[in-house]
Amino acid sequence: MTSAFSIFKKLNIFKKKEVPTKNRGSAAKKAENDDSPILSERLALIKKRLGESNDVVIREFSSSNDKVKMALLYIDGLVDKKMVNDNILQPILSNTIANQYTEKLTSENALELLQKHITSASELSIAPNLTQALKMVLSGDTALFIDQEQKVIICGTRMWEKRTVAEPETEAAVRGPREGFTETMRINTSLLRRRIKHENLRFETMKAGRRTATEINLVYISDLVNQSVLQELRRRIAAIDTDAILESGYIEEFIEDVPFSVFPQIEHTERVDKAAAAILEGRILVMTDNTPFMLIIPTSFFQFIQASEDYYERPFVAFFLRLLRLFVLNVALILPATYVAVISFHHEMLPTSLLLNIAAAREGIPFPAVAEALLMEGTFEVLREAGVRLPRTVGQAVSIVGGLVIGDAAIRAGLVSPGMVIIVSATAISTFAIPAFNASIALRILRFPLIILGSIMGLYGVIFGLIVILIHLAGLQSFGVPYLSPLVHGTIGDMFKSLIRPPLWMSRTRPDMLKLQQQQRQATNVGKRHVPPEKRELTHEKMEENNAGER
Amino acid sequence: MKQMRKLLTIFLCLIFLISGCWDYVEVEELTLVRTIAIDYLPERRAPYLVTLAISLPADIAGEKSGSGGGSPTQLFSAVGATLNLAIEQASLNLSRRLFFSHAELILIGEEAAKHGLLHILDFISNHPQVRFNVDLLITKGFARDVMTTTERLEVAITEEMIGMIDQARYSSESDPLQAFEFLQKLVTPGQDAYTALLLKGPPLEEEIAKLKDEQKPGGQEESTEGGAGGANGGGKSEGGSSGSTEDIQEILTMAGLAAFQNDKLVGFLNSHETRGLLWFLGKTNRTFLAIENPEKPSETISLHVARVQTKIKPHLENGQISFSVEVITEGDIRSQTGNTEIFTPEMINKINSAKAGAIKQEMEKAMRKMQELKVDLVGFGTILYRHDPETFRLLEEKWPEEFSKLKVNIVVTSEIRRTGMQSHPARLRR
Repeated sequence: MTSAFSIFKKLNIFKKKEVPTKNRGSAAKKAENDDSPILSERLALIKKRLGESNDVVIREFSSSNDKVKMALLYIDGLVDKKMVNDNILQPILSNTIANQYTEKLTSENALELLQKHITSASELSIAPNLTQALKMVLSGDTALFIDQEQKVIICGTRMWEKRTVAEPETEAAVRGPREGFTETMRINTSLLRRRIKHENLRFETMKAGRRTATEINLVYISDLVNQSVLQELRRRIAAIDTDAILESGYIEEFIEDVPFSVFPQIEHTERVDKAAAAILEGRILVMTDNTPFMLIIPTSFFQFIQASEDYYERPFVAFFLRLLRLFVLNVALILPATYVAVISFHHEMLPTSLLLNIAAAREGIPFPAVAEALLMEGTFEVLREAGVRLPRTVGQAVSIVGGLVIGDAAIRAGLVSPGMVIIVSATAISTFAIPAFNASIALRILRFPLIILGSIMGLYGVIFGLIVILIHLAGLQSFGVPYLSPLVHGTIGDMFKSLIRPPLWMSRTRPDMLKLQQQQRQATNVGKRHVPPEKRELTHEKMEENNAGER
Repeated sequence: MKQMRKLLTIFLCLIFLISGCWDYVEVEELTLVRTIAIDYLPERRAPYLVTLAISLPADIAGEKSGSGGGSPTQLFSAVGATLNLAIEQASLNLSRRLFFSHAELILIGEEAAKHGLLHILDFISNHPQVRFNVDLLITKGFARDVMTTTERLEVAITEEMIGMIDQARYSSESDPLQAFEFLQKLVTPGQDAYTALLLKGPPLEEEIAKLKDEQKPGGQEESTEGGAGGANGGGKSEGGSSGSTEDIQEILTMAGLAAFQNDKLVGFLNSHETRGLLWFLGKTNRTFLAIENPEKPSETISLHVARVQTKIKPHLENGQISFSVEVITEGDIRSQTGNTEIFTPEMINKINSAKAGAIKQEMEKAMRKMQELKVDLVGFGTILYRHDPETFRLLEEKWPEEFSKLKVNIVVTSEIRRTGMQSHPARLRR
């Protein structure tokens, strides 16, 4: 027993440790000290710091009156070269009459003249020193160094190859916009801006990742969002001290409340409409550069059985689908375990004829029901995983082989009973019917311990396992919002809303559990919607009367 | 907190130890007992003869019937001093574990029922697997003989009997009870228990063949009895068929009741008396009555009874107990043997009173039989007890005697609601 506890103690090594930042800080300071306004020294320093990378472009030149030496620094492939030529180089170098200011350039007034009159780039800023300038350059901006000038002009020239906005593959919808997020932050922000044209929509930039310097945007509506959640989120993201952030999953792992839980505590989406809906509901969207997956904070469990389509189809459809998903969720979790438990222990629970059929089918199967279940579930998981990774053309071959092996050959060979195949396939289909992949895979993982519990202790074990899962779920929180809310800790209206999607004109308030600044979403539309017949303007009778009058 | 965690961990580990796989059984290692037939062999050291009808899984059964045409039921018999011993004896012949949770039927032979059901009921209620809602049937003669009957419609004889029990609930010729209902009746003071009777005999076709041989017009008698004819045919032939040809395939009939005094069988009610009893209990449903046409006595009208309501009230006058029984029935006219215009209000009134009379006659017949056997199957004693506990307590000891002298005043009211699909009788061309 004590050894088991010592394992827990050892787990403490996973706690975040302060990474010594001393060396790093002093190195940066040293570099700053080396920084000098003399152009040639500066360029040497740049070459030293960026190394001999072949995509670093340094273009030295003089102004047309030959009084000021300047240099351009940009990364090839990240900038719009045409823009650099037309808007920066051309105006400085050309000596046309139209450009009277280039004549007056001296090293003293260069910064001001260049900034105000000469360069025609629309995005322009000043970096105080080389280190700042280099950061911007590495993000795709162009730096203009002036001899004898400490400050650096930064021109916004970002332009690189982008994936076009396409339909999100992981969250396809029958009805709804087909646009999904892309890997480019700017496109993504524009997609959101186009949906929420409100002055209070905020994009707050943060950076994380020591080497990747990944841009992270917190998107929220400033007069809705719960300030304490926002504060906490800022704090947690600022505390991320890691080498690289390559995907939003990295951030998710760093900021989630309970790291050792199979359940996803932060929802992610590729759908723009879903993200917009979350923001409008008062949640915070965490956008990460270079990935189309955005995090939604805070998250509760029931979000995983909701799809954006629920709000585009009629309420009845949504109600039915949500019930179906809830059912399917349970099937995916407990069906094989229940089957194994009943087959092994509770023979009296089945109708006689069904039991006789199952017994007949199991006749001659060499394995106990547990082994059979684990074998089939395992095979299915392998097939699914193989299908995900393989190219589409090969994937078909896998599915055919897998289908034959699972469906037919295994039964004929007497390895598994047909009943188990039905159970496993029903479970498999059920897991695919859950909208969120990360939630369904959590259930899939939990299925295996439940099967084992069911085989050892029967239904008692299954229920025991379910209670353990439920206790765990009830203990989870996502940024202060209970994971099972609104089912626990919610208003009655919100409880109903988690299952029944009310008609849009009836859902007056935002979820109570988020504790927002403004609870009310819209005015009471209930009374207004119904217009008494005498006040209706375009009834058939009136139209006919009008027509008659005209005649 | 840490202490709690430690304790919790210990408990979690214990769960795996205290409730392990010890009762883990694969389905295919079980044999499902569907029927338990219990017979009593008096004057033996091991008097209980138990016959278990075991259903075979469809696959094995299919293979067997493909080659040899056997039935999917196998019978295993054994004797023992108690039922448990007998079952243990029977399991010596079995390659698989016996499983009783799917037993739906317990057949009790006449001799066992006469000996007393106490041990059997105790077995049912004490056994961890046998359910309390098994159907309890009494057979005339040996219960084992019933089990060897060949099934006609279902795959196994058990299914056939279960089907017959279901059918019996839609008619009024018998009233099969489940074990707990039987026990309820048994333990209630002022009430005697009964359950349905299962008969085995040659089918009506054999009778018809015999009748043809005799060339006598005796067959008419049979047909006038309407719905009860088939059942009676089976019942009547019981005595006669015992000595006749052996290759006759005998069939099962569920008709009549076995009446118990305490836990011992004392007599049988035939299907007419059974219906008479069911009128008292208000349990008749969907039965047919044949009455004479009030205008032309040679013609018969058959009536369908759809709804029955019975109220029984005790009366105490000068220490003399009597009961008034009020029966209200509803129903339709179904057919007639002639073509009299019977759908007029006057005729319907006459038919109503004739129907009431027929019902009253049946009830009185059943009452006479019960008083003869001294079994209070209706539960007059219970009704008295609920109405006047003091009086019943005084009579409790000698209630069977009191019951046999009981005066019952029966009032039947009948309503004919519908006249079937036609509003006129079939017209003949004149």
